[in-house]
Amino acid sequence: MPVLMLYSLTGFLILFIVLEIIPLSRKREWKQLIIPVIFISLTMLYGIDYVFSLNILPNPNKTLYYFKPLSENFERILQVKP
Amino acid sequence: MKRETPLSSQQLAFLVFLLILGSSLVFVSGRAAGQNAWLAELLGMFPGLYILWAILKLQTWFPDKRITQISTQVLGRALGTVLNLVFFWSIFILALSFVYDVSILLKVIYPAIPRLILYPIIVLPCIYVLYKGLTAMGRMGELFFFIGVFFIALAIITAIPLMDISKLKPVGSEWKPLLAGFLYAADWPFDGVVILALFLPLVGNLKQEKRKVFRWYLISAGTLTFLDLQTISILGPYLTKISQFPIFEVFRLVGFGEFKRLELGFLLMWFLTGVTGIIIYLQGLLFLFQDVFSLDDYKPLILPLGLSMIVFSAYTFPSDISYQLLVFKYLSVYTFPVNLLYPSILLITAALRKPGAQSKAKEPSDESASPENS
Repeated sequence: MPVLMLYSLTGFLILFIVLEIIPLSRKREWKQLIIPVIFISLTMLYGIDYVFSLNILPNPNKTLYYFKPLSENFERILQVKP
Repeated sequence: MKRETPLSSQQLAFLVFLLILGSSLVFVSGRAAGQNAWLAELLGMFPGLYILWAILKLQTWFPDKRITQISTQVLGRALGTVLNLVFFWSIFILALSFVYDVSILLKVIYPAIPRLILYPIIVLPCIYVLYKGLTAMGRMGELFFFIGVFFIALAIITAIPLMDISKLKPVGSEWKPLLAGFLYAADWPFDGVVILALFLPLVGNLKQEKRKVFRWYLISAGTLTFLDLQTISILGPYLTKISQFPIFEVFRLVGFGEFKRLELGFLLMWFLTGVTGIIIYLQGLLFLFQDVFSLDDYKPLILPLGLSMIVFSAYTFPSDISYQLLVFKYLSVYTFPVNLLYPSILLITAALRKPGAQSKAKEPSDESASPENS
């Protein structure tokens, strides 16, 4: 039920606007807002990609698959049973 | 100006205890070693002990700086930031794996609740604690410590009658699987103590009470070793290896006469220690973000980071099978060298440049390092 992710995305976005964006924009601390806004936007994009099963964005787990040959050699040399 | 220290050394010691146990309380991390998994766990604590020594040594040379700030100071801005990003990725993936760990444990107990509901249930209390600040986190650690110790002691005592020591034999045979188990156990949970290098400048009286931190690290390692020994002696090496949560399975077997299903009584212990581990990792990630992007305050990042834990846990680990493969096999190959080498490189470089490094460390810390922002 990936659609349940929408509740988290909406809830967190509302909380972020109320708790961070409004107070910081009132104080005109734009520099403090840029990185968190970029971060939450990226996360929202991944969330939407997940909800609609678009698979457009690169999956972070690909970085771990690069270690597959090393891990397999390690297990072979040290005789780790599956 | 006197440095603000929201955490006491006693609270740090309790957090070490909860971090080690919370990140692996239902697993036997050295299970590749078969019946010698407990021995692998016992040996695996030494690299973690070295890391703890290394980060405390760095802290004595650079008292007001986090390890990420030491990195840019000792190695230069460019190389230091690259190393910090490599470290950041290791911590980020480990934090995701902790969230997933706690969610699969909750899924076993509450199978009808979808995982996408469980993630916010896990992450929202963490966000609340992070908003409350480090003083609240330290007090939470003290409270959870006593609850955790009570339940762990109860768990060990109730499972003792089920132990069959003959299942542990032969001890020390087959050194290759033992070495593999040692490396897995050293990577996780023990090398996880490297995250504490981000908290050390905020701990009061650390120089005088280092022993307390080491003592609780050793107690937690000893407890984990005994829990592993107990699990193998009850389930046997094969069942321990194929079970997703071997220690949880042990508590399913525990009971008095008709009084069964005691494992649900230990849910509070698993949830509290597990959530403490996640909170420590999330706070560490906030410090890392703050230093990498030179932010004055990390608070606006708390909600985005919390949401990223929910989204990326679901995105990175689409199923239990992929999680088992990625975390138990491939992740260790990345996190073990990173968590071991990161403080080692800094320690060696700082030792080589010691006179210069020490004089720099005496200068007032930069804006991002000020305790008000921490």
